[in-house]
Amino acid sequence: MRDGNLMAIDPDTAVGHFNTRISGWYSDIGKT
Amino acid sequence: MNLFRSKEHVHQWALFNPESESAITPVRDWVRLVFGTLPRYTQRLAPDYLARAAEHSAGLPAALAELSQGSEFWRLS
Repeated sequence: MRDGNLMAIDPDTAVGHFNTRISGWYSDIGKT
Repeated sequence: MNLFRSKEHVHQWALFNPESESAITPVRDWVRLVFGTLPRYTQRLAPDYLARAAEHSAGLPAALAELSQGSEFWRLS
């Protein structure tokens, strides 16, 4: 990481995101 | 969970799924309602964490419902 390229994350605007429905996380459990 | 600098950055992401609009949530809310409060996350260093994993996860559906304000996208089943 070079100085000057570090882009600080603003905790007031930072977001979390899931692109797929949460129910999809568990649908593959147990599948081979 | 993907982390983005802002909601606008999520929309600029080439793989953004428009159906997931309701899944864009401030990190502060995640910490306040889920990661900073649920034993599923706060007790991960406990020696008996795995033995109590189900117990620790019991509050997750309700926390997600509150975080998402009841959005269908967040239903676990």
